[in-house]
Amino acid sequence: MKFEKLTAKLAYSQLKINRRRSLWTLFGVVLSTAMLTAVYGFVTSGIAAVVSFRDGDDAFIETYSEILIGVGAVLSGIIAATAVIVMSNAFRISAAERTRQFGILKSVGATRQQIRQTVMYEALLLSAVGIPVGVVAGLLVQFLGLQIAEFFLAGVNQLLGDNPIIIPFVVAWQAILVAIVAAFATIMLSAWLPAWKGAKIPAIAAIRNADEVKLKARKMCSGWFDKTVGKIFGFEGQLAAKSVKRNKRNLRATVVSITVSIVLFIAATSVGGQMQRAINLRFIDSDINVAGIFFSSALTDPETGERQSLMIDSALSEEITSRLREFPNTTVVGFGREIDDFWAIIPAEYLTAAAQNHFPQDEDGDFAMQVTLITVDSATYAELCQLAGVPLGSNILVNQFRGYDWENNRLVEFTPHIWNGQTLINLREPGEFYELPLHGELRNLPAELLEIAGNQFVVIVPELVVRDYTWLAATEDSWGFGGYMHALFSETFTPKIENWVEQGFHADFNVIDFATNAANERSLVQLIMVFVYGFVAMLTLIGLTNVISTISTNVRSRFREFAALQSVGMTHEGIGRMLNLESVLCSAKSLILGLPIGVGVSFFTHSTMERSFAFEYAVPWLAILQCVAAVFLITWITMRYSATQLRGHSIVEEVR
Amino acid sequence: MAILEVNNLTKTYGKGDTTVTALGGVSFSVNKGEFVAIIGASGSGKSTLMHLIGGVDRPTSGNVIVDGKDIFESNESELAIFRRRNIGIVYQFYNLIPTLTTTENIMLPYLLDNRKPDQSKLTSILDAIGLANRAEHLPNELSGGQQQRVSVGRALINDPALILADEPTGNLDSKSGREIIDLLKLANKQYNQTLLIITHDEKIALQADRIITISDGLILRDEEVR
Ligand SMILES: Nc1ncnc2c1ncn2[C@@H]1O[C@H](COP(=O)(O)OP(=O)(O)OP(=O)(O)O)[C@@H](O)[C@H]1O
Ligand SMILES: [Mg+2]
Repeated sequence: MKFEKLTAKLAYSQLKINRRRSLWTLFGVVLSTAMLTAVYGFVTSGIAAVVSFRDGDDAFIETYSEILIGVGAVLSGIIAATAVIVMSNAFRISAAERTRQFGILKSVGATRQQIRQTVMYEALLLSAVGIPVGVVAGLLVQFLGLQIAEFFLAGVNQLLGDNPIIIPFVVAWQAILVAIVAAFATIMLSAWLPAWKGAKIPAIAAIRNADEVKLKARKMCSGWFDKTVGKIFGFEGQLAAKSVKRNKRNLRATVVSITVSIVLFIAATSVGGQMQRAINLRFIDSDINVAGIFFSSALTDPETGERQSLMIDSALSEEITSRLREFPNTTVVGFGREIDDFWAIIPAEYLTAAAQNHFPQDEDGDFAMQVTLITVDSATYAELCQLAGVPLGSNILVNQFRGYDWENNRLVEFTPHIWNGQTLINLREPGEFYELPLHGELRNLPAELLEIAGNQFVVIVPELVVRDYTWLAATEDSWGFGGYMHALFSETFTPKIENWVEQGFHADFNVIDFATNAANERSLVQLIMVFVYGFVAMLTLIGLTNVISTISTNVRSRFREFAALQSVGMTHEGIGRMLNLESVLCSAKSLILGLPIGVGVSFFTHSTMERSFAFEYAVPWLAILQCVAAVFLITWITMRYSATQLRGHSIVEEVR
Repeated sequence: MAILEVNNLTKTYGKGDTTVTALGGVSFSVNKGEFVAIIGASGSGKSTLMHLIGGVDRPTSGNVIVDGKDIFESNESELAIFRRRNIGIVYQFYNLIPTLTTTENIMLPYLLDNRKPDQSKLTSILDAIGLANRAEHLPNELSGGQQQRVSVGRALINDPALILADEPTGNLDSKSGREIIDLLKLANKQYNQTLLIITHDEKIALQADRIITISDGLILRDEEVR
């Protein structure tokens, strides 16, 4: 290649001379560009999917597009930051190697700007080759990623029926442009600081250093660290510890990038596990796997001023319950609730200490509690009466509370009431009183009804007309039962709802198949994890390009040192051992930094998730183990690599 | 007419107790076309003086006037451009760019100026330094003496008013050293370029028009030889 411009030519020859290192840096450029392109490509495809999924729903599209763009921005930020750390290291090493050359250039009249240019041209040349290749690779990653996504979404789409989620492979020139600009900016930024620093070195310093192997006089006293390592690994170990210390700067990027990968890996694995457990907790509390809900909002009639809802009476709910029970191998409970502002003022002496602690107290020491009236299907009601030891037709107090304590972030369960056969005074509006005698209490609800224990003050009554009714089923065939339930609801409710909605009110029903939902959510989580792991793997690879290029520079620039060591009688094997130990020390450092941070991050995400799902924190031991194994595998590979570098050279040649 | 004027030039390194005075107030002037040898014991401040005259380093006080211009009044970029157009420097260690060929190393001041190389000038320099058949070789393919001839060629390419050489023969055998001095002298005699050579070699010093002896950062003697 011929360059008119001197600075470009100098940059090109620098790249050519250190061909191995240049190739690794180029690989880093390609990877970073590919990742950026892929991330923006996924965002583009994701937006296209959102648009096709909810065509016309602008609010939905806008919200999800914003989320996608936000996630894309965060991910590209992480990529760019890692790339800058890694590549600026490569440029810094390359510039440092040429300190003397810069001095000569300056002495024959090169300006600072021209020195800077030689470094920047290096970046420019790498970009010119690496960015186009990276864009193509990124599009390939996008394409493959979408194939994987399609595979994982198959189950979800089966459930969604005629409006499946389709993530198309879209290539938007805007996204590619953004990726190119981001990658270019990243590379230029990486080169900028080394270029600036290289140009600032005074010519005189560069010239004076000309023919000495310069080793800046730094405090190299033997610390406890060298001594300990030396005790364990002998003299080579001590030398290795010293040289790790001396090459701190060059190795820092390596340590940082491996640390980032460790942190991301542990955090991702741990968060994935937490998400899986949250799903299990949400869906697999009892045998219930299908729920059907009828619900009508209370809206004020503009003409009469009265609240209007589409109500379900006991006759209708009983009929539906018995028809649902006709489905084979299925048990069903049904319950409806009245939650329309019934209040009761409960004196403190009627409540246990736990309840007094949990519920807010009035100024005059009483507790104003919202009362929820519950009606259950007749068979279940009979069972509950028997459990409570009261005759049919009784009102039963649910003396069990299971809810979330927001102040202390934990799930609480306690017996709220002191039972003395009291009569409850209900209050709908100030001055309007109802009396509700309570005939018995229940302290342990059957598992399938536990959900109602989450309300403040719950009373089960024999009959009630409600606007909110739920059927919970435990069935062997959740898919078939869900369809059956949906058909039954459509047949029963749809004519009523249509009429009702025409009048301007609201009512709706919904069938939820927990088992299928859980499976689908699980496959969604798996899909996300596949992408997260892919991301971490690529990021690690970027870091790895740095590790290897640093090592090859390191080994090459230290031939003299090795030669000196050999000439005083150190064996070839000894030098190999010293290099291996250096790699091990580096890895150990990354692990010591990365593992605690990663565990910390996972603990933090657990504590935010714990608000919605209560489960114990588990230290991600498996992920930690995998990290240690992976880091030492990487170390081993780099050690092999540096060994090949050594073998190619006759070290004694260097002493001449 | 004085092409170079050095006025009360001082340079100290370090602070406090560890202060080293490399130059303690040096003044002299050199006329156009003069050949001056600078001699003195090791550590006496010769290289420091030359770096200051070449504008590679900045003085603690005093000034250097080249061709009527106080070089330290300009900023770093102006100084660099001034250097590439008006001064040729030769060091003891040839200081070539290892990735550039003989031709390119010689043309360096031109290339830095983004000027089209003057082909006839280049040919005459290559002939003068006797490396016409090594034009496309890299420095590590040349012998020490040949490398030094390249750096002399580089110093001469721009017809600089001032040629500075810091022990240009210090690293060479006597025959190669003689060739280098002959080259420099040729430029001095034929093109009337001003030449300052730092040397430990008495034979070289005696070929000069004038010898300046430096001791402990001060001028000890300044005598015309012929
Ligand atoms: N960067 C520096 N920091 C401190 N002292 C310095 C520095 N550069 C030079 N000196 C000191 O300045 C004095 C003059 O150095 P200089 O290189 O000019 O000597 P010289 O006459 O060229 O010697 P030689 O003949 O050995 O090349 C010496 O005592 C040297 O130690
Ligand atoms: Mg000197």
